[in-house]
Amino acid sequence: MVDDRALVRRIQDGDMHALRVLIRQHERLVQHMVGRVVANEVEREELCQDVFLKVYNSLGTFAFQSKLSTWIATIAYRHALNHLRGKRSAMLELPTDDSTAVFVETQTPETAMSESDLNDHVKKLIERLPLQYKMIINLYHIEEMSYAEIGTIMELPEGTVKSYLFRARAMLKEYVKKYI
Amino acid sequence: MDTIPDDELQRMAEESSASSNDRDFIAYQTVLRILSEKPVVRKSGIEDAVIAKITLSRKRSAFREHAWLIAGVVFLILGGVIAVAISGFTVALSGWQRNIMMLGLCGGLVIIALNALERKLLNRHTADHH
Repeated sequence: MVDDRALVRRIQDGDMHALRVLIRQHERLVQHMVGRVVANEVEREELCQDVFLKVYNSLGTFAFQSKLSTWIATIAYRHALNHLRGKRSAMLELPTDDSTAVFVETQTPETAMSESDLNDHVKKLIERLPLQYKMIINLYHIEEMSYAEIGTIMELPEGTVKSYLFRARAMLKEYVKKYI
Repeated sequence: MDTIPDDELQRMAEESSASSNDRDFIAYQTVLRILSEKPVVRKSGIEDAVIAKITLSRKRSAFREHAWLIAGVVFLILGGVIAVAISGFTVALSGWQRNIMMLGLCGGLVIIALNALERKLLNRHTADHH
């Protein structure tokens, strides 16, 4: 594992191999974050490239006040958010408290479901969650980041991160409960 | 039996050691298991695309800088020519100033002529030796 400071210095000195290393190290993180926003593969790849271009152009402003991965995730999140704002997407709207019931009721009626079918259905359901919920789920469960790191990336207090995570899981639980 | 609050159930489900027959608890365990499944990320060759874009952007930036420099010089010359044409600017010289200028011009021409002659003689001399 290359030291973040050394890696950033090498990139700033014009070492393109170091930039390749940085992209390889954070490709998965950026792809996951952008993937939560854009379903179209071509559009998603274009967004990922734009995120890394932004990272490259802004490296001079990175002061190591957070982990490099947190900083890159912040750029990816803001870029994804701006992309959605440009499209005026409904994904940005957070559900009200009583929307959990609607979220569950709109699904197919109760029938027996195999484990793999249930997995697929829940994954599709995750895609229908509001953007903030999806991002928090992704950063917490997939990237294994702390509440504080997620709060930094999404500019939310830790308490709000916890609350959104709780609500997202509760919404999914209500759905799963019907099939077990 | 008292129902366990959801936040407590989520905490219990996160701790793999905990167990319960509560339907909500089992549902939470299922959700957490599904959420923790890492999605497959295929290699996209994004590095090459990003580096190609950076290289292209650098070339464009260098071209833009040169273009601005050339445009600046051209506009300076054009501006000078237009200013002279509009104002009808001429250099007014008195008699002695004109004499000195002519002397300078003649001196310059003599130096250039002598230089050319010297080079010609030198070439001929060198050719004779070979």
